Amino acid sequence: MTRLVAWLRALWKRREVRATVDEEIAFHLAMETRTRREHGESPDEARRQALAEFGAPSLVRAEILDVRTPWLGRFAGGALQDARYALRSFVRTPLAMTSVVLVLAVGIGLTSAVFAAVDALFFRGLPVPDADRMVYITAPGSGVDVGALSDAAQGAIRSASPTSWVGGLLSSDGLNGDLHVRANGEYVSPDYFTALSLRPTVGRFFVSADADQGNADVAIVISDDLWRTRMSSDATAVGRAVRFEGRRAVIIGVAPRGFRGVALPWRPTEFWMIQPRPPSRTGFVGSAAVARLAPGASIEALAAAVKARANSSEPVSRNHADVVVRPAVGLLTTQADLASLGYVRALADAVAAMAIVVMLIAAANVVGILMARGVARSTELAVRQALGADAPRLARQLVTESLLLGLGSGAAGLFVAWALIHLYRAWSPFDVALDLGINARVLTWTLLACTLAGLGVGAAPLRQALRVDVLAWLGAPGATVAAPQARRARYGAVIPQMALSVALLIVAGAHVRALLRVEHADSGYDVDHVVSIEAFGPMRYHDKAHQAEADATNTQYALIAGERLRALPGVAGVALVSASPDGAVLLPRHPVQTRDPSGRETSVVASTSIDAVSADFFSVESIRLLQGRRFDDNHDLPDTPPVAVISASLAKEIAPDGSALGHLVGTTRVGHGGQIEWREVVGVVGDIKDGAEVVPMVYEPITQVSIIQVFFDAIVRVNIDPDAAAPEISHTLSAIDSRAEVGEAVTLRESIARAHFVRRLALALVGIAGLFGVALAAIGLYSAVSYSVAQQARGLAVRVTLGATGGDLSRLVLVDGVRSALIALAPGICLGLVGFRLTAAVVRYVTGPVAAPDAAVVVAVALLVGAVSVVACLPSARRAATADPLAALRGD
Amino acid sequence: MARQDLLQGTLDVLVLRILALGPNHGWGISVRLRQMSEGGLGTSQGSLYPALHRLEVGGDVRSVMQPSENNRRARVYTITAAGRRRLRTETANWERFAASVARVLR
Repeated sequence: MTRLVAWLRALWKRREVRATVDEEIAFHLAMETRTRREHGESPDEARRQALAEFGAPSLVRAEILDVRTPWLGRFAGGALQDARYALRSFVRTPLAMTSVVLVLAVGIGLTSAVFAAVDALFFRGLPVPDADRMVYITAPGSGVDVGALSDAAQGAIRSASPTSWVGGLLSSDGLNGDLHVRANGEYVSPDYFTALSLRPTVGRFFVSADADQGNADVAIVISDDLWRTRMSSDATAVGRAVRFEGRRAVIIGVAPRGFRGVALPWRPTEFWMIQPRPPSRTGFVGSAAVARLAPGASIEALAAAVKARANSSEPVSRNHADVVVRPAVGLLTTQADLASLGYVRALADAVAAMAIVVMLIAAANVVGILMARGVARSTELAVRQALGADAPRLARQLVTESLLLGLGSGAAGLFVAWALIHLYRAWSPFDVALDLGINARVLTWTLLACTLAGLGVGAAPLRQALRVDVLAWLGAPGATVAAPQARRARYGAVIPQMALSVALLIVAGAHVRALLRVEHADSGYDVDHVVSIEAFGPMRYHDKAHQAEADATNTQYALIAGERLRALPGVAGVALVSASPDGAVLLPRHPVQTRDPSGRETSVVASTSIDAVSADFFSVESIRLLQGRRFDDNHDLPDTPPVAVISASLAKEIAPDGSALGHLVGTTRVGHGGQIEWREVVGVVGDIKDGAEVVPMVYEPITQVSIIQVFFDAIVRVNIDPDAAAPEISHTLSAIDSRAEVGEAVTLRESIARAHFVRRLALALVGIAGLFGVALAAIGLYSAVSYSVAQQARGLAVRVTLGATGGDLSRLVLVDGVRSALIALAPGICLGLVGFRLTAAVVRYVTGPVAAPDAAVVVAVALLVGAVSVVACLPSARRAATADPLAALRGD
Repeated sequence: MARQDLLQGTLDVLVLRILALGPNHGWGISVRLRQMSEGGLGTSQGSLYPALHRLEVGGDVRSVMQPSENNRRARVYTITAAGRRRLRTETANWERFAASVARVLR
């Protein structure tokens, strides 16, 4: 700040000094003129002589200003002059400069958008008053049964608010049909908004009476955004009834604008409800608290108090010793939770890597353009040196130009970042809708990036400019002293661009092929006209004494659910399963041991998925029965011999030559206490696939598995529009028992699409980056070749005089350009393979194993790059062929 | 480069010498310079001004804008105590230097 003041003062003082200096010079000239006239000279002559004696007033003034103004002011004034000069020189080469700014803008925009994501994830505080007094209280833990903070620990903190994420469908109930939106919500304690010191835009926030389990309706607070977009900012929205996951909820208030909850930043919250008892598990990622420090309280003191209370209370968080109290910045989640969200990492890694590569390509491209421009400016720079500008002076000029370019690109880059963020907002599904924005930190980052980019891309041209040999230039105007240098510079810049684009294209191409294989492969089951929905039975295991009752109630619930769903109009079949087949890709794989009918151990199949399904499953999913029988819900019961149906690939592995029927499969999995459970194979069905990969399956009858006593997925085959059927299916399950928790009904196709979204997005980004890279590289190649042709004009003309035809020249130019593109292929392909290996490791998180890039991808990329480079060289080749050799030889 | 420094320094001393006679403006100093050197130091009048400003920045003279004979404001320079000290030192230095040169040339 003080620097800025000094700078401004220096500028101002300079202006003042200039005025008095002008006055002083004018006085001198007037006096000299008058004296000369008194000696008999004519007015004109007197004035002329006075000026001649004095010397150029502008030079004198400049010298005085140099003496008078401090270095900073001198620098500032010089910088302004440099900036003006730079702008004039930009105007002289508008095309080159526009492309420089645009190219850099894309690179800077991408990195800024990525930084906005990083910022949103890790650096953002809460948008509440006195945000620096807010703390997060978390403990490691995730999954269904682990509340990261126990009730007791939560009770230890006044005004603490447990939050957990819940995603679901909010729909209108009755009068207002305009609310039907899939949104993220938070389950909170009644004092949540009090702790955050927020005031409602309309209506009120929660009071403790809202937490009463006996209330007929659930109280719900909605976000300002939801209120504006879905309810047209209607004040009468308060009091309106909506449905959430089949429950009736009444809107009691609207949160202030810009507040999107405290849970996960990539899940902006649109509504808040009081946390039910016991905690809901839908989308549960572990609860944590956000609390406001009392005046004078320290984080350390609060942490000690929380730990003391957590240790002394029963029941407590499983990991109460690890309770963490920290400032409310970044993610409200623990490292353990974060690690389980691999897909976010995968996406972030892909995007960051892509941004860096594009930035590199853009920088290489710009360096190329600037170098060519630098060569073109050699004469100008040489003349300035001859006129007395020393190297630091020229350097300052060129650095100013680079910085201006950087800043211009930064401004355009912000626009690119803004556009990218809006695109992301518009296209991302609700469960990865990171609330991105451009704030002061992002602006600072952009400023830093564009300054560095400006200086970075200016460095090579600067070095080149300072090496200009004045004498060579002045002695031999139009000579080709710089041609080899230009050639090296231009092609030197083109080859890395080409190589990086090839790498990006190979990575993108391989992933796209892998994804296409996944998406277009015959999965072995029907994804159209099938809706799946997840439900939890009405009773929980919180009370061991009532476990038998809970098991019975929940099983009963599942059976009724099946019947009610079958009775719905448009429903062709219903199956209950422990997990929908679209989840197969994410299901853990287990080793399966096998025995032949005589009881002899035969083999261990390493990686098998296990699913508990009802009898209808195979028909609902159109999975063919190949041998034996399907399950029978009425006869395969807990007290009958355990049976299994296996998939064809597993059957082949168990009994390569004969029938697998009668063999035994033994599985171990969580919940079985580590005991192997042996089941007799009674049927063999067709395979299902995860992409190209066949997943060996063991199906168990759901009626023999205790899982149905907790939760199940219902798979419903409909012969009407599945999207239209979904709400009714959800409603039906909720209506059976209001205590049951019913998830969202989605079509299988949609849930597969969701599972693939992150990968698709990452691929789209890498693919776009690859194409963008090739486009940039093509521009780079075009300008390199075109410049090289201009440089070689005389050489080419000489060839014509020696008998070369236009065709020969074209060929010469084409070969020259395409060769540099081809040189880049080998390193590009190597980079691409390395890049694929790196990205495959993270993408694997999302959709399981991916195949290596095959020859087809490499060949396609090579052909594409070859074709693009030919196209980029063609205009120059034509120009070379049609140029007038005489004009070139005359030396213009 | 060395020659320029010498001239520059010399001009500074000459200006200080003239200002030692009394406050004066730039044009007045240039007239005095011409008179006292009997036209022997006919450098361009313009180069006087950077020297004056340099002296002021260095604290050897101070200046003030004040009205003058032809209704224009003129910057009038006055030698400071530091300027007088410098004048004495530089004059002594110059005399020693000139004497040395003269001895060699004799």
